[in-house]
Amino acid sequence: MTFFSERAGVIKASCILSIRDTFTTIRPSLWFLQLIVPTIFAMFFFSMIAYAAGADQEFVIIGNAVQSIGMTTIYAVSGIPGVQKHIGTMTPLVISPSGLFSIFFGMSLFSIAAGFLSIAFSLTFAAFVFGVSMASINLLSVVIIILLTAFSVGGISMMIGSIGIYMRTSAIIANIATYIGLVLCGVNFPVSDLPAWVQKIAYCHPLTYAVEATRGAISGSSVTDLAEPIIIMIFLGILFIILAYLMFLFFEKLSRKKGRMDVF
Amino acid sequence: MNLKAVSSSFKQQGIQFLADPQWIIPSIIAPFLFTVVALYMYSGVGDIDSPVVLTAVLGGGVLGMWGNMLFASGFTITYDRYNGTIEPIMLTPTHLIDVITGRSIWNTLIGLLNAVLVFVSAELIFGVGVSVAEPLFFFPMLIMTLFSLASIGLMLSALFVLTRASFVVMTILEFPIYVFSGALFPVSVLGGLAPISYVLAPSWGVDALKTTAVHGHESMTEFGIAFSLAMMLFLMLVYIAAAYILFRVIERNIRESGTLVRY
Amino acid sequence: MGLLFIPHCDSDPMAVPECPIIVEHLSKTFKARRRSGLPDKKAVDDISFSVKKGEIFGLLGPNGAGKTTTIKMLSTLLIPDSGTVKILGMDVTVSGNEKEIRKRINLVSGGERGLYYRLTGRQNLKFFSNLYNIDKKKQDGLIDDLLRTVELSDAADVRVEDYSRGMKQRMHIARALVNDPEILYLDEPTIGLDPEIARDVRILIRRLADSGTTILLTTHYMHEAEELCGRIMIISKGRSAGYGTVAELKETVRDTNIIEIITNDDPHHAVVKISGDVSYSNTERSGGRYCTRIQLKDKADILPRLNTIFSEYGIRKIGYDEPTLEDIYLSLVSEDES
Repeated sequence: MTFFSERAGVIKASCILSIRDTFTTIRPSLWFLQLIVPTIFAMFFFSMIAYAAGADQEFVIIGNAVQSIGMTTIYAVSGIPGVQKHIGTMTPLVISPSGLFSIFFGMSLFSIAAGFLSIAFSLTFAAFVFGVSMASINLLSVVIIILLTAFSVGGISMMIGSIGIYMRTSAIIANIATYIGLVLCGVNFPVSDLPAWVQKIAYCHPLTYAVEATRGAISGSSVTDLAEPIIIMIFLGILFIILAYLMFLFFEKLSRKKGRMDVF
Repeated sequence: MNLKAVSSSFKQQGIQFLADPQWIIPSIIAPFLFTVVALYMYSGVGDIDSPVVLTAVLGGGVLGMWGNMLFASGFTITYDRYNGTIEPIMLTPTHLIDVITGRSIWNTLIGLLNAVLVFVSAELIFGVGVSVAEPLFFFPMLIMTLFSLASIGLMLSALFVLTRASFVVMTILEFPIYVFSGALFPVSVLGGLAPISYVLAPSWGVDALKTTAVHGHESMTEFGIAFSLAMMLFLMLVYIAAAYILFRVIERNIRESGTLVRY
Repeated sequence: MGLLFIPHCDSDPMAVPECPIIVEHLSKTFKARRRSGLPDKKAVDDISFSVKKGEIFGLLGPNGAGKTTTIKMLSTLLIPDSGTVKILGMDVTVSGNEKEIRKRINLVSGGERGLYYRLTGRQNLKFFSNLYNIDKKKQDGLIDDLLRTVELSDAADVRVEDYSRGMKQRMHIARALVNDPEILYLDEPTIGLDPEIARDVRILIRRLADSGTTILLTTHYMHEAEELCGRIMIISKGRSAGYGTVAELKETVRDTNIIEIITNDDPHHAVVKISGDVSYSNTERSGGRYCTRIQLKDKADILPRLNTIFSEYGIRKIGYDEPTLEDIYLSLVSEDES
């Protein structure tokens, strides 16, 4: 078990570091604002389009509440390696014996937790500000779905982030990953509107299941009703974390070979 | 105002952009995807050639310009802070705003490219062509709208000088313009919030654009294009004046507190 | 405490051509962040000095002593809380003066930052010469001259990101010369440079001073200060701990004795044993030997006692020595700390 216990220390330390780092740059109040303001505006913005287009506004508002994880988790996590390169801490991290993956895993945890919070807040706003009906909500289902969303989306974000160890274009990749859900994952319009081949890609993204399952849970579906998306999300989450680990090893090696560790 | 500094900053921004386009490209992504979303949503309305869809494409272009403008004006000072060049700039007799103005003009041009990108991909992906009713008025107006966005960018860049958390501020400021400019939906659907649109110069630009481009578009007011144009110009001047005053105050402030060089 | 204050220049405006830099009772306090619980930091505390035209003036002190804060106030980047700073006869606190002052001064900070990495050396210089509103027609010739001065002509069209550290440092100096400044502030200009390049930089500084540029320099390297500076101020914790020429500063320690002991082994324990009798001591290792310099509190002859205490470390040499600038520096700074 030393494999895990040694890493647990590194993960914990990295997690604490990332929290401290966040709150020395910005005040907690500002941090909270950036967590919710863009989401509220996004919900408002797309629901106005829905209104103008005569589409279902509740569908859009709930979708965007879940997509709020884009900024808080996908962007933050997938951008970590790029940020480290930018501030010049990549080299000291690589030469430490801890292993990059454990460090980045630890740094990601805070953003993953923030993703959970941002969806929870956004759904609250959906109810109280935008008047989405929560009359038949199954609270247990919602909580489980949000937790799994944060977990599985965190996994895919780490995988995307690993590319940043090697590539200079990590900022571009992080941005695409953040917003692609708006088009791909049934946030604003049904996945079935997309071309068939794009739909196949959509169903590899945990967010697609997250959005669908959240809508289900709000309209009363129980955990057993939602068993299928829940199992798929757990599976995708684990799969992406394993892939992220392998990709970290691969890109770390590649960038050591080519000497691109601190190039940004 | 030191015009040499303005033109040199324009060139410098150009060289840096071409050497390193990855800093600006991210700003294209969100507005482009928003437009795609809007087109999907509007295509449910029916006819792909309907004016609603065309206005969405035009609005998407404006979104693209704004995303770029905000990102670029937020990034410009942050870059100098990080790079340690803010001090050498402050040390010169040139005002910071001259440097930022020069860079903003370059960013404005890139913003125009963003708009064109949206127009072209709307044509290629959705087959929605931008057939403009009055092209002679349309293009000058597009550029004017772009400058109105740049004037907001200039004002906001003062905020970015003050904060280390420029990315956070950027994230918070991105959507209000999307929402209140009426780019992707008519301002009238905002109801009681519509007056916010009236104090934003680009809303008037968007309005004038749509009126020239789309037959049968209902203008924000009953006074027509000339009025919208005048309002945009007036608000732009207000923003620029505000930016100048803000920068004076800020330059004095940072000389007192010595906080500018922290990163 | 042996503080000398020699008023070389007074605030008489007629004295301006003589003293481009006049600093009187300068203070600056940085407010601590709200809720941080830390006290406000008094970075500079009642400092007065003046610098004559064409002089190289040294500001010495440990890290965090207030050297950089002082330079920032003198270069208009920071406004003093109290006291007066007159640069070329102009008060830096008067709004509007900073623009005029900035045209005629410049600053070089040590380290790698401060240049546009994606731009070439020439493009960097071009950009800054425009910020100084230099006539377009004169720019090309000026930039070529500057590149030659800092020996970067061959690398002029290479991006700065590909420069070595020494090249970047020389580019900093070139950048700071674009406006042909009357006053040049150098904040640790040779930090991190290899000895050869550091020597070249010192030669360049000397040349600039000889041609009439007034130079204020901060450094950690005592030999550099001794080699270059006409007069020196040693600051510690924001306060002046000593001010004058090297010779004048040496006068302040005239009444004390410096003993140098060279041993084979590290005499750390011996140094601890005698710590009650000395005002400061410093051990450095060089060439496999240990050189300990001790400044005694009084003139009492304790040489025989030292001989006994240090004998077990294998004494190679023991005896009185003339104080160096480093002795003075360490003595003044440690005096201030105790």
